[in-house]
Amino acid sequence: MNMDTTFLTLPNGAAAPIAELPVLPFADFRAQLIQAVTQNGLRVSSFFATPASNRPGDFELIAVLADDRAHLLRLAASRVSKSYLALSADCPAFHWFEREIAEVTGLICENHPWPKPIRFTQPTTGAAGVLPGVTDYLRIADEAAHEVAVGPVHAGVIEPGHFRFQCLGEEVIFLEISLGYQHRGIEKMLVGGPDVRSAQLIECAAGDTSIASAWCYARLQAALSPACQASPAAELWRGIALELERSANHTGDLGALAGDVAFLPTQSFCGRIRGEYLNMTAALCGNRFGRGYVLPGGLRYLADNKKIADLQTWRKRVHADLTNALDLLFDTPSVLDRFENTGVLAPADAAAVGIVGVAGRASGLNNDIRLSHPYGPYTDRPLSLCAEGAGDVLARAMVRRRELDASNQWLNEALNAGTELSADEQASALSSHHSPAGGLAPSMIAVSLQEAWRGELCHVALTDSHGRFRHYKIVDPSFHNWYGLALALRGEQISHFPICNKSFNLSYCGHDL
Amino acid sequence: MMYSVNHGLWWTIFLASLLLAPLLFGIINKVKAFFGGRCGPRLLQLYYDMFKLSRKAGIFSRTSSGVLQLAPIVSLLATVMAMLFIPGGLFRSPLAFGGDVIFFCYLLGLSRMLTILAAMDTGSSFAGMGASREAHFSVLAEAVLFAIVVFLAIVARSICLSDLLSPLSLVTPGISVPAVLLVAGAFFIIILVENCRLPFDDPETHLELTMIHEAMILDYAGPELAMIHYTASLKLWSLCAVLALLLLPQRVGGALTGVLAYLALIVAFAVGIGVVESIMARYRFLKVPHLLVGSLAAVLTAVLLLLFF
Amino acid sequence: MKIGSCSAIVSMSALLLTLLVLLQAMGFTGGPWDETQLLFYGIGVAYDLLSLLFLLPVALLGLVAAIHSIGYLHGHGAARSGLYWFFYNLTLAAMLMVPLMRSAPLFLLSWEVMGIASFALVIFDWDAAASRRAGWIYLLACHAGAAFLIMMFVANSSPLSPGMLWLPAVLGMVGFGLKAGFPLLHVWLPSAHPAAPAPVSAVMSGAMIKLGLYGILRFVLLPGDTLLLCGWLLAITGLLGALLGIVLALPQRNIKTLLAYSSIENIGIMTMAYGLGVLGVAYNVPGMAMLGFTGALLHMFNHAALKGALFLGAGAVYRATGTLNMEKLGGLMKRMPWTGGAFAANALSLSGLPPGNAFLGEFLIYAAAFNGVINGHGPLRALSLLCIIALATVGGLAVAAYAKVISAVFLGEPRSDSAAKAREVSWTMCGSTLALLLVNLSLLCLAPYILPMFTPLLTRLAGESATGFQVPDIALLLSMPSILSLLLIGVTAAASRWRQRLGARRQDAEGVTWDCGYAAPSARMEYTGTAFAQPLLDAFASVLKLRRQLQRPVALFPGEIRADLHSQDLALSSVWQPLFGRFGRLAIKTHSMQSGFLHAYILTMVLALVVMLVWGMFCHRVDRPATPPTAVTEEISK
Repeated sequence: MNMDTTFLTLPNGAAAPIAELPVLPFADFRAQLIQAVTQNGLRVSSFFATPASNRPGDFELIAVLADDRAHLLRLAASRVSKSYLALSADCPAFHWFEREIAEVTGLICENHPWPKPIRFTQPTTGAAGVLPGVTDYLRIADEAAHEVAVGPVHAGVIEPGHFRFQCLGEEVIFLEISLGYQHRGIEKMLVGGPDVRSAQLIECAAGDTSIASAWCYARLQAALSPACQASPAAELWRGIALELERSANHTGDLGALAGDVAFLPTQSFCGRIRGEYLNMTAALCGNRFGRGYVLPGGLRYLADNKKIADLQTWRKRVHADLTNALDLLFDTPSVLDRFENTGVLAPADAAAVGIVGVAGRASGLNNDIRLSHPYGPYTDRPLSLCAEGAGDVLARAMVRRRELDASNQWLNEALNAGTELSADEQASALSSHHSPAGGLAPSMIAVSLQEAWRGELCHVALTDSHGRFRHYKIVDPSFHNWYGLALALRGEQISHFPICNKSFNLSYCGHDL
Repeated sequence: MMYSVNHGLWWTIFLASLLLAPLLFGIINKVKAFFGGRCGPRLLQLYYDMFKLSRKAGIFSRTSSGVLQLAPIVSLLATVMAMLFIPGGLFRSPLAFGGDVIFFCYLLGLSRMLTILAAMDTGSSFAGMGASREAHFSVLAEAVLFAIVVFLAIVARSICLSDLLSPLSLVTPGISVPAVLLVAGAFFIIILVENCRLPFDDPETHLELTMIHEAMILDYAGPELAMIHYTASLKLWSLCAVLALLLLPQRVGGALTGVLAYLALIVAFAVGIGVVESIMARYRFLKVPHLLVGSLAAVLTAVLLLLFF
Repeated sequence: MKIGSCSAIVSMSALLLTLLVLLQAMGFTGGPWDETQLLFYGIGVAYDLLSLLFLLPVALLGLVAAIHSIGYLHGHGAARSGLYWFFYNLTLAAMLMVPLMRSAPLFLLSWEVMGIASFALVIFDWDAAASRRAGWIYLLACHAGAAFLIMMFVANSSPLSPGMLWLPAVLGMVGFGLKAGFPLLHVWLPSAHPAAPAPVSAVMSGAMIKLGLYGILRFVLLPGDTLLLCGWLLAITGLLGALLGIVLALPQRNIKTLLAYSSIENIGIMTMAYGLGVLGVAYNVPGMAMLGFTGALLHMFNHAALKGALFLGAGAVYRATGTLNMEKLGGLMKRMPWTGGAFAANALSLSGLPPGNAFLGEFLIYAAAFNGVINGHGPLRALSLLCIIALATVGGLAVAAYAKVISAVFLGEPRSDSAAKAREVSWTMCGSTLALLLVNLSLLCLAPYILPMFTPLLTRLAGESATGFQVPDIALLLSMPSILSLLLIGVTAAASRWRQRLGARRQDAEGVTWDCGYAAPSARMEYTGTAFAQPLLDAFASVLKLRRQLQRPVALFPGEIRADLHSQDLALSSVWQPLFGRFGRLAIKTHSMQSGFLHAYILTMVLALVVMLVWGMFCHRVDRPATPPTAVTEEISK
């Protein structure tokens, strides 16, 4: 197979005219995609349907595959109407995407192994109303079995989602997860953009991933508009903000994991330390979650050398505290006993359904966009890959812990580099506009990948002939990983669900959009 | 040395126990807050909560059939009745009779059974989960508890709670200290499991799927919830009091000193529970039986030590 | 229909009469007595306090179950009802005869009639294959038991060398144990009880299996050398039976099967208590002896009334819903408040918790074991310790098992249409359960006063002791828990009344069970009985031989998940089935000898005779002078 003719090949954060995207006959398209994923080791970063521009009622399927070894993205398209033979039947990595396609467009994915809605949105056809979370759940064919229905309203302060466990006593035989309670229609709102609201909308797709989302969006804009190119200094500061975001969230997750096994000390420490990371983010970005810091073309604020030095000492102090708290957690036998062999996601399953990020690396998948598709500050300042293999809660906790150390190391170097920037370089990082003044290049397709703290975040934008967004597709890391959580729970004790869930810590709103 | 008989003082201490019991949760929470570097809820928080709850109207599940209403009342009364047999401080219970220790254990069992039934009465899967776990662990806990009673019965040559607890203490000559320590340790574990504390159950958690006691009472509100909280505190107090009497040196001086030492030990156990909860994670449920069977083995070892050394 | 009613009335009046006569006999003879009252002594019919003791449950349950039967049989044809009543009355008559027969032939006769008549009741529902199978197993067990009993009587009446004295005791233990449901010998019980109509199960479980214990007390426990052996046998059998019974009760889905296993447990507890009593006598621990016998006696009464009521309750549930499968029931408390309330109260009591009457019996048994721990020595102490821990464990498991029944059948939401549509049953069925509840309540109040009536019997069993641990002491011991239990009931009633008034004033509200805000909750989302017991089942999985066929979803997108969870009875699957299987195979092998030629058979017979002749001439003659002297010297040296 010649990938270069079947696929449009792009580096991370680049754009090409839509005309260059090869539109294959569906049979070829299907065969090529399945071969690329199952045999050549490519990953599905995005797969969506957009209304075909010339023929109403037809849809264009666009797939974005990540080729980690070649550090490239490969895109392909095909045209279908009404129904098509589902790719999931032969390649499970597509299954969630195809469920989404079926739900959003009304296309019928024939032979789909699991044809159920993922967001329970009202059908576009205007047919009978859909009740959120109400579907035919797979049941155990025995009257002694029972179901446990958790959510959408949970006891803790967390987002809504419905979990349906099929149990025999304490053992979970099967878990299905129904989401969609947080659906806001962000992608639809972005069509016709960009305008002043776009960046804010994207930051809010998943509130705890604001910096990664905004950066992803900014790089997409940069690919589509020369006016939005950011300077290396801006990219460096964006990286620092992203690593702070990662550190805050990983710290919070490890604290929450400690809390779920009722290990008070680390829970309390991590709760405080997460706050410290958020405060550092606030000191740098003006907002604890980094909202509004990353703008197309650069940054909203600059940091002077004193601020950098302060951040440097602050980081050192906090990291020392963090190390103590985490040592305590990972040295306590009763904690390790809870984490070990709990919620195992087998590497083969993880690869098959296309798990990304922390959960993927815990199951032995070596994907990290910062390394496989390096961008911005990560190009000349790479991080070490933090992967484990066991796929259990402990592995996911360990990946987080090692990433915290790696981020800390990286932050140290990056902050040092920040002090060495000249005043001009610093000033070049500043951006003054929220949306590009000159509009975007017309009839283009652009792709941008980010390693958000949960994992791979993918934005794809299609522009129309006026340089407006024709279609904007966001794939949050949670989108890939929810099914992984469901798999990890099979055969597990139901009382382990909370720590399994927490060890994945997936986003509901990022998935629901 | 046997307990002295002073019914007036015994009743005073009994009433004081009824008043002071909710304080134990306050103490535990304060200790946990201290370890977590927080201020924590007020020492008297449970009293405020109970007062607030008791003034509300009740609300019951439509699925329930009366067991839900009945259970908190029976639980509370059974626990209070069980407390009637505990010698208070240094004074023999006026209601003591031969075999009252069996009655004591089974009254606590009654309270548990009703809680289980009430949980199942709601038809909630969470409550069912809690009930199922409670039934499971209590089987083993019961066995350990009775093994401990056997140990004490051999020492005291009686099965009356007021006699059982009197002659034993760490300083009693003729009884091997390791045996007493094993029994006391096992009893402390029983206190933790019977009161749904760490490492068996996490009273603080909000995760329904991991709860035992909290899951069973998920559908309670108002005065019933107040009763349940109160019952839980009485149960904790009773078992701590028994352990305190088990370890209390008898010759601590006059009546006042004795009573103060008794109360101090109970508070010390509450602090101990707080410390345990602050420094360890909860067990996975599959491991809980191991710990309980282990403590059964410990008690049996103690019995052997008692008989042969 | 008319035959049935007439028959019912006749049997009821006969039973009523028996009950009256028995009570009168107790009342009018002026206090405790234990002389053997001759009826027809010439042919070996007589009664004494021991007979009376075991007649009481028979008479009581026979009457109440007859009333229940009227409702239970409603809708069955005249022929079937007629057959039912015929065999019901025959069974009861035989059961009433058994404790009165003193001579071996008469006893065996009534014993056999009891077995065969009740067999006919077990296969009442003969269209169902399960019923027929249960019936055959039952018949087999009855006959095997009778065979052992015949051997026991033969052994008893023949002169035995002192070394062989254990033989009749063991034979009797097996023969009566088959009826009582001792562990390993119990296999007929859990299939026969559910197959029989509920009133019959009530009589069988409440009264008939106890006649096995009667037999042991009457014919096996004879003063002398075998006492020690019997004591140990009883105590250990009882301990194992109690544990095995309750553990096997846990996974059952059929209400009556669960109740049947619980009967094995309770028989176990009684047997253990008798064992403790006997050992108390043998080791001269008078307190233990007295407490053990009294506890066993009290528990027997309690269990008869409680288990009878529970089986009748199960019958009412069956009539109302058409199923006994707990996984298909639920929510019946609201639909059948009388049946449900009585069932729950009885089950709560039978799980051994105060303020139930079963607690009083278990209290005494505990006390007996504690007495053994405190006053016994060596092995007796160890046994008592084991008994206490076993009792505590059995208590905990019984709580779990009965919590499972109550909640799966009566609480929560109905899990099937038939359960949702259930209505309260007729007054005869309801009333009989309630009547037994009343009996239980009076047992709770009156146990301390009834027990002294049996003083002579208990003193005879436990032996006269100088140390002064007498029945009145025990009655006094019981009065505290009895009074406090009544107090608890009274205060609870008052408090809940007050709470209701308060609720009316404050306008208590109703709401949904917390459903996490989900749009379409269903009854599948409540815990099933099996789910409730699952953690315990896992703990006992190896004992239960829990067969768990589960098609685990291994595919990423499974099509279906099939599960088949069944527990097997260890005794059946690991002992009897392999044993009978092997016998069967052996029997098939003998087919080769069945050539069909007459001369071949004659040749076999001749050969056998020759072999026997040779054996008789050489071996036996040589042995004869050698054996007796050694046996005698052994005896002398002892």
